[in-house]
Order: sequence, then structure tokens, then C-alpha cells
Amino acid sequence: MKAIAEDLDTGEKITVDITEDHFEELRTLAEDKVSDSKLDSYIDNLHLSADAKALVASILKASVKVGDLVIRVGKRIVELVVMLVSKFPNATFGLILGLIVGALVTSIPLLGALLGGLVAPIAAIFGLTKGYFEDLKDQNLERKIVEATAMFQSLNGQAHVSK
Amino acid sequence: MVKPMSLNEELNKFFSESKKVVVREPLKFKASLGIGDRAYRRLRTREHMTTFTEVVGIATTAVGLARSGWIATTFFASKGFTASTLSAFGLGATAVTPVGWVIAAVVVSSTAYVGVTHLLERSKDNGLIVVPKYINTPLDIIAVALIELMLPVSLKIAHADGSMHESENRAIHDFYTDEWGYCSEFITRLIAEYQDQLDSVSYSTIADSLAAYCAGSKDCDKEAIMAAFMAHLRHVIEADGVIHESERAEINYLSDILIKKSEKAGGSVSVSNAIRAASQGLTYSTAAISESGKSIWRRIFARSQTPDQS
Repeated sequence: MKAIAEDLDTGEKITVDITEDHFEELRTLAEDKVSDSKLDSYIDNLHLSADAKALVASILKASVKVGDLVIRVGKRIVELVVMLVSKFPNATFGLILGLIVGALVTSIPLLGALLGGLVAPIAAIFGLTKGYFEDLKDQNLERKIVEATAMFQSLNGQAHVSK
Repeated sequence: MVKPMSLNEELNKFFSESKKVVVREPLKFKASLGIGDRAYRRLRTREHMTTFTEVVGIATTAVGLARSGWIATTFFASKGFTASTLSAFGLGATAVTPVGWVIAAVVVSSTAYVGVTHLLERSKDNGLIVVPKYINTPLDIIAVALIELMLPVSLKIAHADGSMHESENRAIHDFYTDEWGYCSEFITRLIAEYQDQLDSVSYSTIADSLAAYCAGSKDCDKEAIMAAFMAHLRHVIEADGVIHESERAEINYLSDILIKKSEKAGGSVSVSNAIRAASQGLTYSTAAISESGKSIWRRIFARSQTPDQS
């Protein structure tokens, strides 16, 4: 089974062979938890600059196709961050977003190719530095980030790029 | 023992809980703020850079950053949280995503960014209304702040002739829901709650606060908001088909206060002009004041009162 992510700018396709054993997990990952307009309403009400909100909105566009399934990975990430930031009010939106995107980009090649371009803008807009990440003391949050990253592991595999 | 919820279950539960909204139509609300593309501070502060320099500058910075190992040590950490997360999946401390793809993606994203800047540039001064998709203040916070300053004034003006006609009520309700995008139930409820408290509404205090809020907020265009608000108040007093002198007197009083406050605070002449233009036709010279109008003014000034104290 192939998972395909298409770069909307270049049209390049990134393909990953994944096992069919994970189809149910992928189906769960493909399900929207909230409508686009309601999620936008959450974004509207974040204590973030307009520039940062626009960056968050650009993440929403990232998606992966597996057979008939369309997995809106960007939307899943933002849903997770919106929920986690409400449960961990001492952590900032930018920190949680940076942690999740950073973990996904580095651990899943397909998402690395898809989201890699967002790494620098996220770090720049939210002022994330190396020290910021290493300062993470909340083990509950750390556990949640690991769980969040695990939700996407069914997309893992050796990636190939094609036109 | 209760089994802890999975993250997926937590997500479903979190988003299934109903969320009350103050603003039903966010784009209308953001358009009413009149701030346009100035909401995007970074775009505005960059507008004097040349396109070429901008493209090259961004791309070079981003790619340079990636090559310098800054991204690698931030996100592709060899130790710390990211590394431990990688370890959690048996990936050790080595990132599996080729860094070259990240660099390529950075170049693409920077050109897209510049494209947005140009799109906004083009829309300036050509008669378009530019509505920022996002603003800097949480939407509900700015929405509540503004409605608390504007709605009491709308209601007080509507009551200036002693009662509020149904058509005036509708004009107020529709202005905030249809033009500003507020939730209809929210406005209906607020109108009912404010009705009994209008005696304590001071035009002077509210005008002060409204002017200060608009001037202090990076998401409000004072001129656009004041002009639209004054035009709305004019529609309110016209809604029942009869403009009472008391309504005319109160709207002029408020208009004068807003202009004075704006000028005193060093506000631009355009704000004063916008307020004047919005209430145009309602302002008049002393000679043009009708007899009933004169008697109202005489009564007000004889008692050294303002509409705030009536």
C-alpha cells in the first residue's frame, strides 16, 4: 500500500510503502475531529499574532493520500496542539507545535518532506531555540507529545520522490 | 481501575464539547475593524524592501540557517527531548529525514511568502476591502470589548426620544449581526440586559474608552470604526421614520465629544472628518435649529446638563 504526499508548489510526489496492517490506524487518523470553520474559530481565539495564525493556517493544508483515504495530517497536528495547549496552559502554543512538528519531521520521512519547510518559519515566528526544547520539564506533556507522534507512525517507511 | 483515554479519544471529547461563540461570522467582524493588511505586522514592516532582495534575503537566511546546523541542533537534536522522542520509536538519535528536502522546502515556502506580500500590495488603493484572515487579538476578547462600548450607546440614542421603537431595535440588532458578524443570540441577550441600565451610560466616558481602545489596539482602525459607528447611530434615529430633536441633540453631542477626544489625543484630522461625514445632515448651525430643538438645548444648558445627565 502506498502513501502519497504531493507538494502543492512543485507537484513532486513523495511516496512511501506502508503495510496494510495499519489501515485501521490510518482510517482513524483520516477522521476529522472538528469542522474547518470550528477549528478556525479556535485559531482566531489564540493569543498569537496574525502572522503566527497565518502560519498555523498554512500547516492545515498538508495532506497525505493512502488509497481512497485522504489524511489531513496538518489539520490533525493543529487539532492536537489546540487540545494540548488547553490542557497544559503553562506551555505555549508555539512550544507544543514546535515539539510535535519537530518530532514528526525527524521521525517520519514522508512528513519530513511535507512539513520540513515549516520548521524554520515555526522556529522564527514562535521564537523557539535549542534551549527552549531542552527546557521541557513537564513529563505529562512530554508523554502526550510522544503519544501524538505515535498517532502518525503508520505513515512511516522509506520515502521516494517522483515527478 | 478506569482505563485512561487514548489521545484520539481525548481529541474527540475535546472537540465534541460545545463552544459558545461571540462572533458568528469572523470575516465580517474583521472587515469591520478596518485594519486590512496592516494586521500582518511582519508584512508591513517589510514592504520597503525590494522584491529581489526580499526573495534572496529570505531564502538565503533560511537555507543558510539549515546549512549552519541551526535547524539540525534545534529540531534534529542529538540529545534532549526530540532525540528522546526519536528513541521512543527506536530511531536512535539520528534524524531519518534528508536535510536536503527540508532546505528545498524552505526555498519554496519563502517564495510563497513573497507572493502573499505582492498580493496584498496590489490590493492597496484599488477600491478593494482587504480583510485579514487573522488578527492579533483573540477574536472573542476584542469582540466583547467593542460591543460593551458600542451597544450601550446605540441603545441610549434609540431611547433618546423616550422609548425604543421596534424598528430601532431591529436596526441595532442587524447592525451588530449583519455588519459586524456578532452572534444573533448574543446580541439579543445583551440588548435585553442593557435596557435597564441605560441611565448609567455616560456618553463622555464611553466615547473616552472607545477612542482609547481603538487607538491602543493594533487590530482597530479608529477612523473606519468611528465612521461606521456614527453612520449606524444615524440609521438608528432614522429607523422609526421620525428624527426627534432629542435624538439629534444626543448624536451631535456624542459626535462633538468623539471629535474633541480624537483631536485632543493628537488623532488625525481624517478621524474627525470621518465622524463629521457620518453625521452629515444632522449637524446644523444655531440658526437652523428648530424651535423644539432650541427648547431642548435651552433646557439642557439652563440646567448646565449634558445628555449624559438627562
